[in-house]
Amino acid sequence: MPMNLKLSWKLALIGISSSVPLLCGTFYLINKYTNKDIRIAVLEQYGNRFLQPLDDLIEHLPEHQALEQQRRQGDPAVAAALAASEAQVNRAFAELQARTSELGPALQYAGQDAAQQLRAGVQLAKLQQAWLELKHPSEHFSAEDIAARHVQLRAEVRSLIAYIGNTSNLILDPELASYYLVDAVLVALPQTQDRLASLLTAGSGLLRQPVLPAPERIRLAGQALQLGESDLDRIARDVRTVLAAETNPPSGQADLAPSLLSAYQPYADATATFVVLLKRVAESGSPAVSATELTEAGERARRHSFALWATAQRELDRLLQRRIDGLNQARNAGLGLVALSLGLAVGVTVMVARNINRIEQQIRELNATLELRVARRTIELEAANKELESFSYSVSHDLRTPLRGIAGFTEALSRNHRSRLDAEGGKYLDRVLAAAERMGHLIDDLLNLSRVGRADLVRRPVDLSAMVRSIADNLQHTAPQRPVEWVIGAGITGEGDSRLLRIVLENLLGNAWKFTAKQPAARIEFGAAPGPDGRTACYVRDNGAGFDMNHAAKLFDPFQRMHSLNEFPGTGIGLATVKRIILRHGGQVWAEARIDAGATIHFTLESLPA
Amino acid sequence: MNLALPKFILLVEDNPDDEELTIMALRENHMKNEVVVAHDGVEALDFLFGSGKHAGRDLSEMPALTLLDLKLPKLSGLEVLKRIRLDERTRLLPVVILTSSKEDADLIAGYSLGCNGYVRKPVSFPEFVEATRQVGLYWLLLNETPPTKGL
Repeated sequence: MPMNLKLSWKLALIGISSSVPLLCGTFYLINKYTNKDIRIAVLEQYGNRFLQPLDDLIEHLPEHQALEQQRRQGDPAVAAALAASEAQVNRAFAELQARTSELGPALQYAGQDAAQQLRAGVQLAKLQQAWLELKHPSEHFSAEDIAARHVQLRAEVRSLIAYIGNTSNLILDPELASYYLVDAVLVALPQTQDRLASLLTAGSGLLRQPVLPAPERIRLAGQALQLGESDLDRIARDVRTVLAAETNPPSGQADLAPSLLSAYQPYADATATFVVLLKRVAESGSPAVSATELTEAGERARRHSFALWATAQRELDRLLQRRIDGLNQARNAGLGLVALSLGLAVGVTVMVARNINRIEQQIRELNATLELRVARRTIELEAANKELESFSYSVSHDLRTPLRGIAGFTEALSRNHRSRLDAEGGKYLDRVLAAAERMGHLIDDLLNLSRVGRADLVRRPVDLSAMVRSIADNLQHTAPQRPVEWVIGAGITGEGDSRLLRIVLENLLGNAWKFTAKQPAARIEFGAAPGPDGRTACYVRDNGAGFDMNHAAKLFDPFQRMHSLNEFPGTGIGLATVKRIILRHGGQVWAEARIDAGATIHFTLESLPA
Repeated sequence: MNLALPKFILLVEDNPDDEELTIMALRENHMKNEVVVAHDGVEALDFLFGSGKHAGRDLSEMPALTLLDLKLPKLSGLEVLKRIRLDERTRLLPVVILTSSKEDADLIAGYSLGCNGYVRKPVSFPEFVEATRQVGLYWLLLNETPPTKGL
């Protein structure tokens, strides 16, 4: 990502680049899964359309068979009808050929078995071959041969119907209504149509006999039973289930009940009538029913079965189309939603980016004025610092000069003219001298304090133990006779300004030295130990006069003293100086003490090892 | 060689109290040298270079020691020191800064400009006497001044 882009546009890019793949993923998944469902429905539709010419074959082949039989029996009147029938069958085959090349490849891909795929082509070729032989049957063929071949051919057609149902997933249809339509179209109706064809071609011959032999009657009764209770009941159940499932078709969809019912009812009636006639023939064993009556009833049942089949097939197609449309709508809605989200995400991101842009702009402006303010403040501070410097210069120079006059002339007075004063006058001179000297120390200490605040801090590693030892030597040197036990921890180091740290230690050790003056067994200790926050703290401990912890809060303020001047001399600036130096080093300083039990001053430095 | 020339001190000091105290301290140390006082920077330079009210002064007589205050009217002590060191005639003159200030900046400036010593006037008179004694002892008795005439 180029670094010169504004922050807001970077964020926008991040936002868009993270939401876009997510939405595209959703888009892809929606597409993939609905497309899969749509694909399945479309294949079913293909399969359903494939069935049309096959059922046409089931319809027209027996007609051709009957006419061919009539021609053989020397009825020349049938020639024209035979030719027409032959044309119908040819058309059905042509249609089948067309569907195979149009829909075959799509259906073949749905099938999983390569051998199965081959079979469609093989079966069609076989059907065509069988038809070629039956179209103009050899004169050597007996009527029985031809009938058997027709039965065989119809069986092949039905097996192809089942095969198509299989490869197009029709038999796996997931919805109740369409599933039962599939059952009717794919299995039940072709079966009954086949059965009717067999009955009619055989039946017309049977009824010419005066008395039906017993095996024929039993066979007829069986056929009637199958036609009525197997086929008709199954188809009735299919239709009932479809209608029950479709009592509430989706709004805006045409109700399939009227068309299905109007096709079903005539079929059911005609079939029932035919079954009654068949049963009567089978029971009586004699032609109680005229051949014409029976044939007509059978033909009617057959015709209505094809009408029902056509209706069922059309309605199935409509249901599938409805499902495809619904899926398409759902997919488009989903995709639209995703696109909308994408637009929304981009829009929001751009809005947020603009907002950030504005905020960034404001921050930049604020920064600019901040820099200005800081610059102004710095100038002010520098001026204040200069003022402070000139002030301390004045203190150092101008305040000391008159003080020196006071001290000097008083001294001269005391030395040279003391004899002219009485004893009390002489004492007063001494008091003036002492006060002047004290004021001199105060000024010096004040100067030191201000210098501590102003001096540059130069941080270097400092051997604090060595520094303490050298200061202790100096102190001991001022009063060699004083018995003081020095306990100095070895190897204590810290990082800081050695000049300033020396002032700290001089003050702390000087105090310890001062406040143990009246202690016969004085002991002054320097060491390091973990402080309350875990960081190493140095300490200076003495067993001197100590002080009341109630006043400890003021201990580090300038001019605060814990003892009277008579007890211990001092200006009260030492610990203030110590505190200022320690704070400048980023450390902390605190004290603990008890009256007459000594005092301990702890301090930390920023860089003291933890 | 001019042994007859007395070793005198030039005291540059504007404050009459300090002037008197310094002289008192010198006397206290039994230093009988003549003390010439200049009360501001300009007067000090006039004396050293024989100008102004000191016009026509015999410039072969130069002070054995100049005690120079820093805070002076008209011309500051540091400025005076600078002029002294810039002039061929006074380039080698012993100058000790005697001042109340112990500011680091003053110390550094003083030594940078070539002062020979820097003494901070203590408040306590006995200490002042002691400081004066040491300065006088060194510069007036022990130290050999360079020849006043060119080599």
